[in-house]
Amino acid sequence: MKLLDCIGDAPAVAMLGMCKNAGKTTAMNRLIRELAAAGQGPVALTSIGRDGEATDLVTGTYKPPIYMREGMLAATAEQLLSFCDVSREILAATGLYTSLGEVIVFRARSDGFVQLAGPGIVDHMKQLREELTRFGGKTVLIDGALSRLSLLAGAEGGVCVLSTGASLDRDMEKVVADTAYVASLLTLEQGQASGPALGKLTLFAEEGTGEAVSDIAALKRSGGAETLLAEGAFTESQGRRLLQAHCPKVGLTLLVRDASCLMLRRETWEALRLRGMEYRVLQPTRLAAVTVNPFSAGGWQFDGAAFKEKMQAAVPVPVLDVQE
Amino acid sequence: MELSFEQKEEIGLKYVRDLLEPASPYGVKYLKNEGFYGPGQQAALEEELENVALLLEALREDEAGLRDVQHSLSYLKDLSGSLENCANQALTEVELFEISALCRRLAELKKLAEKLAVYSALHGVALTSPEGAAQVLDPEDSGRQSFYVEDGRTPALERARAEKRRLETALRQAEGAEKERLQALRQEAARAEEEELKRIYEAMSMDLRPHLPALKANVAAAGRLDAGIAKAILARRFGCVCPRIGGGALRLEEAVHPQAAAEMAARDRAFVPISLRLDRGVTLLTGANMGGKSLALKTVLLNTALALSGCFVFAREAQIPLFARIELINRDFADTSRGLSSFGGEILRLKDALAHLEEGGLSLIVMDELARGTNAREGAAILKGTVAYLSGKNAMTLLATHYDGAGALAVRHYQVKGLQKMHQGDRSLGSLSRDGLRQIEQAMDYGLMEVPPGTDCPQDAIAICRLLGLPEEILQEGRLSHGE
Repeated sequence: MKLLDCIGDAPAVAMLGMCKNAGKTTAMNRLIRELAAAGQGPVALTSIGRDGEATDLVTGTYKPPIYMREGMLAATAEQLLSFCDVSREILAATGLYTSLGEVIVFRARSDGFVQLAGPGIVDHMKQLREELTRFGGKTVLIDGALSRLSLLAGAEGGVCVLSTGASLDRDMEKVVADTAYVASLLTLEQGQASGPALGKLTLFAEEGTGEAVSDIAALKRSGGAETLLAEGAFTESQGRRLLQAHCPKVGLTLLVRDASCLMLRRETWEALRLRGMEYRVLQPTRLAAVTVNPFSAGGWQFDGAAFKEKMQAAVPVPVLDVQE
Repeated sequence: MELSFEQKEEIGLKYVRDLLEPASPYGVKYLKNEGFYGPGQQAALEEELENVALLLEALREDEAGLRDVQHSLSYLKDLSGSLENCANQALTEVELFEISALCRRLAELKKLAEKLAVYSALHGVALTSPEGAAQVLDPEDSGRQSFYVEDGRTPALERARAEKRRLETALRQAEGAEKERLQALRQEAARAEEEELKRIYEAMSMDLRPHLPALKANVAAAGRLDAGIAKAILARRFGCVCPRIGGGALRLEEAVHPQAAAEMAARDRAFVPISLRLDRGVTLLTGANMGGKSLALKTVLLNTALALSGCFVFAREAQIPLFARIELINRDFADTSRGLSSFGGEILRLKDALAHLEEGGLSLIVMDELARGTNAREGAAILKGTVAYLSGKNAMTLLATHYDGAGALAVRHYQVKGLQKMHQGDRSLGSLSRDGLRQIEQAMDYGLMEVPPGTDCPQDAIAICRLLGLPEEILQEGRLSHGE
């Protein structure tokens, strides 16, 4: 199966990784190859923050750089241009800045390696996507980060690809369960608050105005369907206190901005869910595929076929072996 | 001539300059570096003011055209760093791109500016065609908006790119060891391309050097044009007028302080314009507390400073001499942090201002209640001495005071009209205290009237205290010792 088939004609694709060496860049290169072969029209590449170094800064392991194709567009920080060996036609200096200088848009006049560093601010990412579209970019591929999902906000029809692999843990079962948990976060349905947030936590009755919640452990519920809106992150400790609160969880919906705001451990998430609580996000993400990498940076490896099979059973989207 | 940041803020000059909205970084820079025009620069200042007048005319006759110019200016980026770098080092591909974009934008700006009927009459904003520099950056004259060195620029570049392309094509199908071999070869070709590009960028930077003075002159002209448009827009918004520069007297007709006027408008009050004339020697300003003396001083200072920085003034008419210096001597709370009492700070500033008088050139000295921080008897003596000293100097001095006795030496004397309306009626209104501030504002006539020098200061302090609701017992006591 092609990764491209999972993407369809989404205008923006965010590549996300469960951990270092999960195979995110390999998946991105594969998608670039497939897009180039399909000739779907110009592809534009950028990144949330910095990515694309030849060696991984954290573990020191070899990391495949991003290899772009002639005709594609890229947006990266000025100081990284000298690390790109693709022939570049400079199209624009965007006026958007990163710690590595201004974000520059260029068209590749050859194939070649690039290092990407894009904007780290939601509005800037949105502006950049618009700029790339103006230069003809039909699909914007974003080297993303799970922790910075909010930067993908407003990408109408955008999707994401989650990469995971043996590097996450020696225990395959744990890798599958953790990945499935994140996949479920990335497929949360959209919810709506019936009013503006009144504090860090606001409880909304089904209809009517909200009420600020000062102490989650003393949450009082009317009994009907209610929505608990969290502004910013909903943390593990908040989750545990909610779990201990003497209130029914059935009929309660926890609403956060996006999946990155749910900072709950899998066990807490699951315990609340089993007691009847539901989760919704204001800005939903569309998970298109999960890629697996059976090789780890630590030297161990999983049985590729079994890993893929187990993963497929645990997530609701197609699973691809990144090396295939 | 210089004013400190605090003084610019104090007199409202910062407020007005912040209202100027240049569209380009070059306009911002022009305004920032403009400073004050002084003796010997009358012609230059008049040219700047004439620019504003012409652009104001353009705003009236062809606003759309002027807005097009402003829009075009807004696309200019600040490349002064690259223009400096280019003089002695090779520019990067991004800098070369930016300079080629600058050339395009300057050419467009020139085209739009030339459409303005007033353009040819403007001073110091002549834009020249940046063709020479553009030619260096795009020798094929492709007209493209991007920056790219075509393969054919040098044989070495052509060779490197051809080899690289051949390997990249082969790589698309290659696998395993063959792929690695091709990758290594490609890396070499890429390095050769990069080195050749580096040489080409160096050569381009060198070829750009002869065109740098013209580019710098062009952005400077764009900056001046931009600043002039911003000044004209401000002048139109507030109905400012062109001051006459020079002459032996400072004259303001119906001058306004826009910052105070805006603050008063927010409280539904109207600013009462002031008119006055200063000659060499000392002009006194006396009047009731809360009668707006300080504001009158600031209005004079602000409009003088605006005129001398090439802006129209907030008045119906103005004549501003080309002062060498503007000195503001008031109580400054910053003094206490320097270990000076407010009185000490004021006296030191006075001493400095007097020392400057010896440097020649006409000074404008504005003093707000000199020596009020000390006892009344000595304070009045210091004031009197200062007035006498300044009477024979090459300075126009405007002095607000409560002290009697200095008037006889003054060349002119203005008084705030003050609570006169109340004096004629019932002066002992006691029931106003509930909203005393507002009552005072209503009863106070902030206008200035000229009185014979030496006229006694009006005695309104007790009436003001009563309006503000001070206990009657105190006022009775005060009145007794005041001899009533």
